[in-house]
Amino acid sequence: MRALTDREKRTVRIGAAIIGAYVLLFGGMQLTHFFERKRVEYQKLVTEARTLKGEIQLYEDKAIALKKLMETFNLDPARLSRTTAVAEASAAIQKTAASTGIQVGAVRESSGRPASKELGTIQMETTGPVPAVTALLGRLEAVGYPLVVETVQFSAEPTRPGQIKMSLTIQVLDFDQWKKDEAPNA
Amino acid sequence: MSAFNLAKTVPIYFEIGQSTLRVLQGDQGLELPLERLPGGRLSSGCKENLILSLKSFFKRDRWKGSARAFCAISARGVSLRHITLPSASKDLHRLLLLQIESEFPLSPDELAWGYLPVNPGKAPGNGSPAQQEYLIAAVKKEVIEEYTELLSACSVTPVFTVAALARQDLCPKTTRPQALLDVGRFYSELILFANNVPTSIRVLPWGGETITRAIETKLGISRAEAEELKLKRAQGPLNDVGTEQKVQAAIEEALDALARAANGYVLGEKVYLTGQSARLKELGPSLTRRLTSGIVCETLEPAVAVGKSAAIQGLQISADPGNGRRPLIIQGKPTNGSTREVRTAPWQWVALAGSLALAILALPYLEAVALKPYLAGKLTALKADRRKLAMIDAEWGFFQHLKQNAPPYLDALFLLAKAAPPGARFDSLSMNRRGDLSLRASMQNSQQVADFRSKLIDSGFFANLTVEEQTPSPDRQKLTVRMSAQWKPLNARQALAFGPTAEEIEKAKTRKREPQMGGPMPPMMGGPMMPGPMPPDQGGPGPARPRPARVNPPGGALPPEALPPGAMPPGALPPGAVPPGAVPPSQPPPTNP
Repeated sequence: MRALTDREKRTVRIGAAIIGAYVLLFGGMQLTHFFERKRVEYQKLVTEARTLKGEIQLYEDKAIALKKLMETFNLDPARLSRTTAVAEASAAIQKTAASTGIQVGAVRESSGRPASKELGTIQMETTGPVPAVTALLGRLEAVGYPLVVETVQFSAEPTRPGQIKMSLTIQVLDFDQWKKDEAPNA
Repeated sequence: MSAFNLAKTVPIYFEIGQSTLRVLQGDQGLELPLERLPGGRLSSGCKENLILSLKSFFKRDRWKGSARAFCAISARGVSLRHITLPSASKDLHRLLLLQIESEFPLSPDELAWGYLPVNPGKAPGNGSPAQQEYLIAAVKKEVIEEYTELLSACSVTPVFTVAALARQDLCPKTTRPQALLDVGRFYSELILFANNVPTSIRVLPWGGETITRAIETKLGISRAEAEELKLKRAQGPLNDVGTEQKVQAAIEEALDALARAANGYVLGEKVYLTGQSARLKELGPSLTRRLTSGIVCETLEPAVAVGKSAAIQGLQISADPGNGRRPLIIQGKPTNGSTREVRTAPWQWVALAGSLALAILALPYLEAVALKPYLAGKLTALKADRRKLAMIDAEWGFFQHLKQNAPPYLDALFLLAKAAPPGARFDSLSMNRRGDLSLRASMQNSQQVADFRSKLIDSGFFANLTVEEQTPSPDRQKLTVRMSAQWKPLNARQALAFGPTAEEIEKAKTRKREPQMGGPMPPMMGGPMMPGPMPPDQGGPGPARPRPARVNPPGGALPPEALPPGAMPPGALPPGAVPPGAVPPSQPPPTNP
């Protein structure tokens, strides 16, 4: 093979240097673009994570207040069963009434109206001494079911001196209706 | 290997003799012959060879910059002086220059010199200032410049000292005068010292070559054969008795010349011998016999390795900062005599700074590449858990509804009981969630009805109150009243406080403990239909008291078990109050005509 002249060697060297510089520049730009794209994606994720963190922090206070309310009402709505809630609530009310020394009379249950977000309505007649009746009225809040006393009516009980008759109309609320309301937030 | 170690340089030790250059770096050593011109300068060919050989020996990474080198130069051309100066630290350099100018044959500008304070300074006496003795070593500047140029070409930054001074560190320390004789190839260097301080350096024209030539002459053999015989003799006596005797005689003759030269100096008690020729076993004893009586010669065991010599071992000791020794450094522009920190080339720092800058630039990109998958996974998990937030919202709304729709039945009952006049009788009472209240009651007269009504209005609980019907009974003894009312909305009621006060609760407790005091009826009750006792200072519900913070929803009542023993739930009827239609069993029926 013929040996290269100095001029040819110089040409080869310059050519190699130009090609090398081009490859380096092109490769470097590609690499820079790749890393820049990754960095931008990462920054987006970081921003998203920060937003989410802010949202969650707002809920921390709400969760604490909610826990307190659950303890006050002795109630965890997530554990309520829609099908058995009315029956269980009725039983719980009667049990509470019995424990306060009240005689429970007629109890009528009717299915609730979806528009008013209730599972059912319980009508109940009770008879007992005044302290027991007022105690029952106070305890209804914490029987462990979402109850709203729609009406209360006191009247004399002529057959039992010292006792009064109390007629209650109680609504059992339907927690599922609230879940549906809040669904868009999910 | 840590980054620190990467940047760290291993010191290099040089001994630049008259005919040999020895190098030691770590465990690697090198010995190169030196070719000098008649004036003592190195020949240009020798310099080139040295540069090539040294570069090849070091094989250093360029980015590490210059290595520091400690160089011990030959005593040839070196002058030592002891100068005593007043302890004046500020003008010391100027004073030294003046002394050098007067003591040395050349001006300070032509000299490379260094100094070292020796012996403890003399304390100031009466009228005389404190004094300090200095040892000054000086050599022609061109000698040092030549070596500096040579070593700089090999990327080495040298500091210079005198080899004889470095060797002194190998001798045991004593206050008595001693000497050290380093036997070289053509010359020997004799350093005399007392109290561990060098007093003078001499170069004797006697070396290993003198012995070789003596053997050559005595045995009539070539120089090479004589050198071989000398080396064999250093291992032990020769086998040929005749040759052995002749070699012995030649060595004795050569030693006579050395002894004659050495005896002209005050050698002290002991003379230490170093150098390759000192390996001749009879050198020490033979020299002892020839020197002035009482002087003992002792050979210091030289390290037998390429690049190792007594001077280099001494340099290693001096250069170790842990030894606390300050070598005498010779420089073109002398400083205070201590070892000047060798300036390291900035290459390593430039490389380090560049790496750091690159790391700072690359970190955001590397972080993105490395942490993105982790962050994406975490975000996906969080989004999946977002349903829990919706559940919290739902539960929150549910409880708020429950709280706001809990009607204040007990509050209303409590207010009615407190406002009821004596003798009043409630036949029926109905309330609903929307706040409608209607009742039917009988009272003694219209004044009681008006009072009852005004007390209820004053309580601030009711928005409107209407007496729908007020009918006297046929016997005119009582009035039958039908009333309807509407309580205020939740927002308006929240500022009000209902329920028994602490005093009322306390009174209720007292009554419970003393039932005999009032019999079956409360003692304050004036008639069978009287409601419960009013607080003595209040006469009725009256304007609302400042409301304490409450946890329960408005209108709600504390569970009875949460109250103190004997206390009533808020809104409960006070003891003795007559519920609608109720007639206490012990009470006589109302006196109706």
